[in-house]
Amino acid sequence: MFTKTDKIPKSSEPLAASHLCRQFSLPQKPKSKGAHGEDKGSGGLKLIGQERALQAIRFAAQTPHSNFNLFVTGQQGFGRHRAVLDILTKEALGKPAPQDWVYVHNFTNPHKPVAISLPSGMAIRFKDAMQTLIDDLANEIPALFEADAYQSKRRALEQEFGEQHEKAFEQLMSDAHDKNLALLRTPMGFMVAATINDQPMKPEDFEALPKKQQALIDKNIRETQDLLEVVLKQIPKREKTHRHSIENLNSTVANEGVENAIKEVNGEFRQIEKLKQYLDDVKADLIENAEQFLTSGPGAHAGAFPVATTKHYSRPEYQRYSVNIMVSNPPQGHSGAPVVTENLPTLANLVGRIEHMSEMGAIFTDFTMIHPGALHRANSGYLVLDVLQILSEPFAWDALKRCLKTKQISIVSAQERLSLFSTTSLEPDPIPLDIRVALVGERIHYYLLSMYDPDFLKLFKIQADFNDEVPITPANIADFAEMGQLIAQKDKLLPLNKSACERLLIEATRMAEDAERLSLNAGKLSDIIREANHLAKIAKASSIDASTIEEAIENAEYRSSRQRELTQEAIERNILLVETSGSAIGQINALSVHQIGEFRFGRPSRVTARVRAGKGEVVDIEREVELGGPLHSKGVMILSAYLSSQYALDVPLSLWASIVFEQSYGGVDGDSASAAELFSVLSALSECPINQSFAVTGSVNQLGEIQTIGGVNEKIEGFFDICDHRGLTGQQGVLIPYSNIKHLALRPRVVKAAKAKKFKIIPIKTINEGISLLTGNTAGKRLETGSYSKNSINDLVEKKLISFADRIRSYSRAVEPVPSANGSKNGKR
Amino acid sequence: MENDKPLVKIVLGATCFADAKVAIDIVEKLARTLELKLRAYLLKEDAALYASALPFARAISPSGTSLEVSDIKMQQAYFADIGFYERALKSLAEQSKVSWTLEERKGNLDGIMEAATSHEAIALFGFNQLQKPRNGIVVLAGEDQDISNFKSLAGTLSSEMNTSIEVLRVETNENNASNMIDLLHKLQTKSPALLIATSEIIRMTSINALLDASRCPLIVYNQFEFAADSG
Repeated sequence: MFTKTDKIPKSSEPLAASHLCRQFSLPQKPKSKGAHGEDKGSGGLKLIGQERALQAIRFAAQTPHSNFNLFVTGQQGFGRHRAVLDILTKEALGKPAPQDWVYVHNFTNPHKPVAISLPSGMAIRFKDAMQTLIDDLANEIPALFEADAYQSKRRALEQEFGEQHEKAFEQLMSDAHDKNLALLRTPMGFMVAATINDQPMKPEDFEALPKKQQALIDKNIRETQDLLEVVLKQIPKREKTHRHSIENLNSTVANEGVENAIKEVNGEFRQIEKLKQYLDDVKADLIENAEQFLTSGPGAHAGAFPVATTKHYSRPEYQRYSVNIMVSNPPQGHSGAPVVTENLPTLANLVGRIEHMSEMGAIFTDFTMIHPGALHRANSGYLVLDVLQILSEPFAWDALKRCLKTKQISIVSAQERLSLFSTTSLEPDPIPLDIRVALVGERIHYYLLSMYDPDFLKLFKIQADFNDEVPITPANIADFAEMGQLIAQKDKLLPLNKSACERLLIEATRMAEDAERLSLNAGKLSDIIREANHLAKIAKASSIDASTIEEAIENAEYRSSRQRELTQEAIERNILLVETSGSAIGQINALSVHQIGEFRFGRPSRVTARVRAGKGEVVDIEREVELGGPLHSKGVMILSAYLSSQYALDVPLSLWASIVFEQSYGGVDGDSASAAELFSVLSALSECPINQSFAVTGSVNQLGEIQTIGGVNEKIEGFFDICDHRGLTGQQGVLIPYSNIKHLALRPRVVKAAKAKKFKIIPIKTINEGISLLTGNTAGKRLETGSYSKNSINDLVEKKLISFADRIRSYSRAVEPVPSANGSKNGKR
Repeated sequence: MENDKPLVKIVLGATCFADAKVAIDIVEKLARTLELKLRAYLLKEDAALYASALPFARAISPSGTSLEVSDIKMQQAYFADIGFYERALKSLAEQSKVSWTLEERKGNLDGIMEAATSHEAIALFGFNQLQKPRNGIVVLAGEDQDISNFKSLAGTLSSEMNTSIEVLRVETNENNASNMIDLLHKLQTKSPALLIATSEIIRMTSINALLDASRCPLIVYNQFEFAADSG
């Protein structure tokens, strides 16, 4: 199924083309879709090598224990969201549908709306039933109050009241008249005046009367005044009694109407425990405020419709009887638990919000303005969130944790959290929360949250870690090829032929930077397939083949390669000094990788070394000017240690060496140039020139072994492109660590040149191998005599170091201080 | 159009501001459709002045509280009421097309009626009702009397006051006193919101008797046409 190179490459020898890029050979007929198990997404895409992550997701979805929430880690484009949604959707189907939730008016504390749960699918029915109830009452109550039965009872009460009042007044007037008294209305109130022949009695006439008669008039007036006082004082009491009688009558009539109308709602919903109390409250309130229905006319906008069709329930005065549905599900048995993805997890979108309205300059709200959030919609099911999004929304992460910890959804706005809101607001009943949250993010988010948020690991106990790559096995190759086909099918692209799949496999090894592994970045592979599809369609091809895939890859690289070309151009024009032929002492081509966005490219840089006698100091100029990173400094210190431990062991290391990345202005990090730096120092010490046709990459340890580095493909291609532009001589090549052979997935242009022996990629295991290849001289072994083989590189280096030590010693003697007369030492030059 | 409103003269009589305010409210309603020329009187009834001079005089407020009364206190109360009366009329004139005069007058309500007759005006007597009326406007008219003219007045007030109109026909035979006693008794139990009577009815009884029986504001409609007045 895939080619293997049985011949083990030798170090210090150019690699065969077969080692430069792994080739794949798939069977003619690709395996049929679905042959490899069950881990397919809704789009039919297979997730390769993710068994561990998928098992974690399944466990999180199935376990009933709280706080076993899920954190899915992995790189973007690896199908994390798809996998989570697929598994959760499948698990959700087997779960019961969640309950419906509604908010209703709290008749005792209006600012604390009551949350009521209903069996699945009943919320809408309950809302409809309440609307019908209000419409019925708006039509029936006025009819009841206009009915003859009510009117006659009302009239009887009015009559009774009027008669009581009139009877009392009539009696008063009649008595007064009989006693020759008149009742007068004056600015000070009622007055009782004596009369003679129906004319007012003057004070002088009164004075002229006999005392006995005066006393009688006085007594009569006092009695009438007393009686008037009593009659007037009784008026408010009678009015109160009358008002109560009318209220009782109204209440009786309203009770009858409400009782009849609410019967239907009671019949359907009273068996729900929490609705019992609510329906009792509604009934009491309807009876108490029955007069509100007496003004329920057809409304100005009734238009052509008959009055009976008017939607009375929508009028503001009946708002408190409405039902605010927070969660509504289809009737039981029709669906499973919800799986909700919230792409904008703001605080309001997560826990819900309470809206406010402005009326006549005042801000107000009520329970009908409570809106559900994702937690409401996903309650009893699953909620999928992107961790970066929720962390970047103010208060959202905190709110999510609070809800998970308290196991209930409390609606708190950001304004309230910041105490910016001073107007009336609501405190709705919290709704119990039973949810499984799946956060999707990258590993760095998981690690940072684990480290800095003490709640995180308690609430998110399950990690589903997606592999970035899988080892190359026949099964994985087959699955990978199938995945390519399925991507094309899903996106309705042209089919991939065998060669296209093989080319994609090569690209997957390059993306994995490992010829023995395949990258699982389905996102990037999809992009290549889509671009290839575009090219194939332009070419009117019936399928996508390897050349189209190759072209798509090249096009994508070309679009991103402006910076690479500018660098190469600068080298071509000798603005950046890089030799690709000839030789020079203390000078070598090192290789570095630059990354701009997703595009990486390699470029050669000249590294030079200068030496002289000194105190065992190797100066890393990059570090001195703070352009070198810590890893680079480490590399230089290692090569310094190598020198100390390798040469002139009997004398102090009396070397001063400086190493620099020439024309580097942007900083250098990593130790992949440490081998090249060591080679340049050795060249400088041995005074043996280095062949400039070579570039070198690799890090070195204290034992002189060459170690693995990253970006080997880009580095080789970077030097190859320069050589290619200048003309390949057949001498040019790159020395790479032997351990990097397995990472090679070079572009065809390099492989082709290598095949034609125009360019060499030579693996090396040690410094000795490398210096021999670079100088054309043997490195030299330490002989039994203790010295290196004569005129070898190592011999020359050691001799130079010993000569430096001698020079330093003789210099030190020359400047040794001479004891003075009083015993102290003074320096003398 | 304001200028097209017919001009009507009204003589308004009340024995206290509480009654006058009720009458002014009725005038305000009429002013919406009519241009009004108002002659207002605060009547200082002889009987009230005599009664307040008696040593055991007391006044009873509408809420049933007893107050001691003297000549001086009564005069002060009249003085205060005329002030309120004037302010209420000014306010009315600012809102409606009403020209007005206000006078204090001694005598009795029949004197006001005479003034109305002499000015060819409608007489309006205020009465502050202690209770909400149980009925609407009651119109009293002679048996064969043409009431088309003041029915339109009653109609205007009925729509403004959002109440009904009931017409009671009375035999105006001067020898039939029992008819009038029956009428007054009927009015005592009627509890109307407003009583409108023709001058013919008034001739058979007194203003006081009608007010005592009906315990509501009274409009006496002289048989003059609503016509533009020269001045």
